[in-house]
Amino acid sequence: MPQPQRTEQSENEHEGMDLRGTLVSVTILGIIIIISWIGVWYLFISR
Amino acid sequence: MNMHKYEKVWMLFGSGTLLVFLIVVGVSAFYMGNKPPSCAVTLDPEEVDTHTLFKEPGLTQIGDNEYQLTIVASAFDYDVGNDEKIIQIPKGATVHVSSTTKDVIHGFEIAGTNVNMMLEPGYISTYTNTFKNAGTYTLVCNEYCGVGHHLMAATIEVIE
Repeated sequence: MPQPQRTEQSENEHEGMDLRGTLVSVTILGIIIIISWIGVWYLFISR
Repeated sequence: MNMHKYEKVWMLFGSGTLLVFLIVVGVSAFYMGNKPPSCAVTLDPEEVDTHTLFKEPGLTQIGDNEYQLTIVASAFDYDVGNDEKIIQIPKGATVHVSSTTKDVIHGFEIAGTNVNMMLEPGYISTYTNTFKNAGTYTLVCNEYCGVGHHLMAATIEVIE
């Protein structure tokens, strides 16, 4: 039957995916967010 | 549930960051008193000029380095108690700023400080600020209130 085979195949593909690029990209974004948050926070505290 | 290892890493990073932000803001608000301007006090917008707080707008000293600043906004003017539209505050003073509007919604921002609030008819907006840095600041209306909106301004001078 085509159904179980397709799900099994997609799970296997999921495990083999290379997500290093994604992790690096979102981590950089996260760092940008944290830095801007701290920047605005410092501005508020200093005034 | 089959999550990729990196997805778990990212979710931990994201929720951890969120937790830190919430704790910092929470402590700052409830322990150190950094809250949004209060506007829970109401008054009759038609009776502003006879209200005890706004009868005579301006700066009054109420304690050691503690002042009360009351300003009445209208279209398109800030009544600060004098015609030069200048308020002088000593550096380091704690000022309780109270303001209201006689007609429409106005803004109340002392640009360069943390004083930034809205004035709504029927409500008194207050904010307590310590003027730590000397200089000249402009009080501006940052809420569109009509054709003269861009002309609404006053000056706050924080002097040594």
